[in-house]
Amino acid sequence: MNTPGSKLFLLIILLFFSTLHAQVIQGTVSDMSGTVPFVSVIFKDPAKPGLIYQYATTDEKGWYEIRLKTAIDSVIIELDNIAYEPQIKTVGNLQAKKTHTLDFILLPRITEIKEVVVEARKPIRVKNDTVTYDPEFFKDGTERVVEDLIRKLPGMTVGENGEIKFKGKTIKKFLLDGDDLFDSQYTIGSKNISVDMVEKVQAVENYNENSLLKGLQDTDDVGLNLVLKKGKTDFSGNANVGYGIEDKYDLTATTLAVNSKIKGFGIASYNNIGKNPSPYYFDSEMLTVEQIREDKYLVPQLLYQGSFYSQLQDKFHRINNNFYTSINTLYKFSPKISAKVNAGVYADRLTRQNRTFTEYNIGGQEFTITEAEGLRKKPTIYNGALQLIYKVSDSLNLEYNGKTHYEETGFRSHSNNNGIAQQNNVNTTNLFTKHNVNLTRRINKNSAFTALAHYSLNRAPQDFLLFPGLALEGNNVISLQNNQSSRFDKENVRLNLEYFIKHENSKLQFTGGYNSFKTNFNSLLTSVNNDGSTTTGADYRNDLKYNVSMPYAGAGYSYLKNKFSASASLLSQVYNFELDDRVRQLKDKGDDIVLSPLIRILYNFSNKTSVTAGYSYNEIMPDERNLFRGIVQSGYRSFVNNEPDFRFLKTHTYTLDYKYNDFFNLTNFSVSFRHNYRKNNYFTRNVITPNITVMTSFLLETGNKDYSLGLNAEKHLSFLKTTVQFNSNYGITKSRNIVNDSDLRDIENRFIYLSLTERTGFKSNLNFENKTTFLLNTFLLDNKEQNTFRSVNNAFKSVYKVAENINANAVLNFISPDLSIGNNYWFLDAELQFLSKNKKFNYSVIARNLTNNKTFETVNVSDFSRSTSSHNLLDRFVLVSVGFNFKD
Amino acid sequence: MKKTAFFLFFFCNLLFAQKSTLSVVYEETMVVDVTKYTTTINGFLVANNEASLYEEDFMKIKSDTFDDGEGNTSVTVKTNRNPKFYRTANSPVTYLGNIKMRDFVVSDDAKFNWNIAEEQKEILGYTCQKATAEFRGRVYVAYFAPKLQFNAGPWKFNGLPGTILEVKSQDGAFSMTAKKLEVKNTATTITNPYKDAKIISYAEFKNIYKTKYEEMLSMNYGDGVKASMPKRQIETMIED
Repeated sequence: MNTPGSKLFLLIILLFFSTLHAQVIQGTVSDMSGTVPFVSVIFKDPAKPGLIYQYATTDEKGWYEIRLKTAIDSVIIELDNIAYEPQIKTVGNLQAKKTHTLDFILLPRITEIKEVVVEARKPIRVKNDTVTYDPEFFKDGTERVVEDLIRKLPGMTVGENGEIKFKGKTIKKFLLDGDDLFDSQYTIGSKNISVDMVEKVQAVENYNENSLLKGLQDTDDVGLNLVLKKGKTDFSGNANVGYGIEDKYDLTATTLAVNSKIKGFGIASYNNIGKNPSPYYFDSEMLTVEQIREDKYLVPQLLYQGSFYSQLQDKFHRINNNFYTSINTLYKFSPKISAKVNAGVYADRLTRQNRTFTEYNIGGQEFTITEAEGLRKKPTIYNGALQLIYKVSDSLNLEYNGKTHYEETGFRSHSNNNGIAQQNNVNTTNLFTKHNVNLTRRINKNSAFTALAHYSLNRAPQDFLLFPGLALEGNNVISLQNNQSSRFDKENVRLNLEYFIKHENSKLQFTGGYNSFKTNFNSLLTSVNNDGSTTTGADYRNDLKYNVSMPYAGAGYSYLKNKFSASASLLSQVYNFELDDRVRQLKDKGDDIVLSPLIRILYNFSNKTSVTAGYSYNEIMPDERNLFRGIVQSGYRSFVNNEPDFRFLKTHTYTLDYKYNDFFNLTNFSVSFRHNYRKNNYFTRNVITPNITVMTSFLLETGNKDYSLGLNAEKHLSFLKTTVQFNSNYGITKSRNIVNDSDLRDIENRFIYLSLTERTGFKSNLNFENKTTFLLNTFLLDNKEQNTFRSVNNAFKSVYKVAENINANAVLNFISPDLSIGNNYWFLDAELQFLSKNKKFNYSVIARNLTNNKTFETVNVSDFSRSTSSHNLLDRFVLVSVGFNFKD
Repeated sequence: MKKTAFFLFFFCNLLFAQKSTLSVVYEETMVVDVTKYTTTINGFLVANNEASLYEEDFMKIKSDTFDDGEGNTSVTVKTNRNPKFYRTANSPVTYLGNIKMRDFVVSDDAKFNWNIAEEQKEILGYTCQKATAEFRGRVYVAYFAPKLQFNAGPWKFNGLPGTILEVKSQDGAFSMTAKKLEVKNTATTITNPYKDAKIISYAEFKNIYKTKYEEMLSMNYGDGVKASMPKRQIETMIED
């Protein structure tokens, strides 16, 4: 048949066949009121009902007509239109005739079309001042609470104290669906809200917590908002029970209630595995976010209550018995009135074994001190806060904020100071209460007025009993016992008025007010001698009244146009102070006018690149901790006092920042430079002997300087599916001190910090994260190098997704606290998580410190000493836990 | 009984008929032939059973969210000169064309001769079917969602039995992809933004373009400096 003729024959046959069988389907589409023009008529092949085969559209008269492309036996005809109920007809036996006429009568749609909102998911969206993160793109499956997630979001960091920063700026508010539930105790939320409850994370720049001031004030603040998942119900939570060998417990229950009237978060927890869900830190000198904000209202606690510091992560060394419960509720009575109540109770029992061996080299004199201490600290806190907001009208807002914090801490330790064994008992109570009333009035679009009245009180009496004690006089080294009491009281009243006005590109702010601090300090040190007599005296007593009142006025101006913004402000304060040292019958009085200027210039080269330069000058009034003369015994071997001085601390601060943030390409880069120049400063005279250390601080009109240069970069390398993060800091501090009989010595400290993190985001089941940090610290004394030490840490984490609902991860930490002595540590932790099919239950096995390290040793250097310290660690343990997630 | 049923139908008709509104946000990308410079903007489509309106947000004045939850975000409202494409069922598309900085309201038949293919892919959770068409100098591949029974699309694209959620020219110069979509059971009035304007046909528009193109070619700015207009924008304007 392979001839030209046969081909032609085939063609003719084919043509004949197809013309014969090319069916036409036609008809009219109408509804109750007549024919329906311009509706789509869809034809489908019954063999492939998911695909449109052909389609036609009705003409003006409702007529459709289609010639099928190929011959098929039957066809499905569909009319699906938003205005009408869908209709489907199947026509069989198409071969029977050439033309099929099929009319449709449409009925109005009764069933509603399903409402939908869908959005293509993107890791990060930037809109105006808001950056929105989609958590799904950043999770590796091991995150449990919000904080774990935030650490992984580009541009965000979480400090050791839980402080969250965005583009290097501390967040001002932590919001849940736009509501501020926790205020400055937001770590309750970030450390405890399950990551599964979060739909999106938003960072809002130029955030103003007072919505009536929006547009009138350049805040430079950042607000963090968690968009919560909207379930069918508004009540959810989880409970977790963990038991480990030996005698390890981890129990937590949290609930989250969200609806239009109430927002609430509650937690109750107990653990002894080193976790701390509370917003308090009694195991370090670290300030909480709350303390940083309230610093100027708080009094110092001079008496030593144990050192719980460690270079290691808390989970390795925090030996605790932590109980914490907190309830946070926001209730909206009406759109105008809302109330927020926070209540929390915290109790802990922290223990530690410390050993320190210090070699001193002071002016050619060398000696060593050996110390050992077994510590136990039991803090208890009751905390309550109330906020009432009354939005009188769209332009008037009234707000009350009050809180009370009561704390009791018992500290016991057995210390051994160069062979002298002693028992230390310190009891501290701390009461802090704060009340604010704030009124905001928006006068018109371009101006507003605020008034604030503030009252706060802090009182923190401490008692220290040391036995045997250290003899204060005579030839004996020890006495029967020492008693030290110390108590600060501080009261602050402040009235503040502000007026904001905006004109085109300029914003003006006028501030005026009155600030008053009343501080009292009482302390007494007595030593009971071996013969039963007591030693005390004016040298060991303080009874101080320190009052400062200052009216102030200031103005601020800011200008913003296109890419350029500048702001300048000047604050003038008139200080009137009065110091009454009743022990020494000394009265000081004085006044001073302080001008504090501030200038800041910002230029945005593009929406990704910006440069900021700033300068400020500040004078800080003497603080109560620098004004007492009488000696206070602050620890078993340490004593402190001052040579009071009324000169103000004068500081010039210079800053320069370059920032590049390209969220689209997931690239961030920033360089920042800081320089502080203090014209005068407090210096310390240290008298160190084998048995005691006395530190006297005094003010000198000689300055110190510090410089720091930071470089941070983050880049997502899409070809490697890896995010690389680099952080570095280089700093120089120039200072002075006096040790024993020395002259004033010039001290310079130089440090370099480098950290490199790589995080993979492979689509495979196996992913890695590695973080390396390097620290170099050098001390120079009179320009000669004295002490240098280098330390390296490396943490390698691998995450393996065994199945959709099973996750395993292991973290290997390598720590070399001092490269010169090669004393290295390896820590291995592992975790296995299993999530039930209905996602209600999760089971996990946690193994910590598998390498079973018992103690950890570090080296600290200063310009005149080198000390080797060691402390004990949380024992190796394996913990099995069951979690239950519930939704009402 | 029949009466009641009829009444019910009638009543329901009033209640539900033509009440649904579709909103789609597209990411629209254009690469200019000569400079290879890429422009990316958001395109906003609103459609109901009767009409559709597509707005290309060159002025960047629209938010890419449907309901701006944060409320009173003060945006300086620039004069809205965004090009818009308005059409009712099977009628020509009315839009704002521009030649040498001058605006013209154009009525364009814009008929697409789509070839439906069997390939499918998912866009925003909707199964979409592939269709291709040649249109004024470029070949386009579109994906439409039959389950979204609004016969609408971005730019001038239309005529498929379902909403067009993605169109890309084969040469990569012009593309539109839906990134957000909303169907709501509320009525929206879509009005012709150019209903009071003087309207010219696409053929007239093309003629004006041709006249200006030739004018430019013959224009001499002195010292032999010459300027020209492109022969092709998205659509071929000057046939060879």
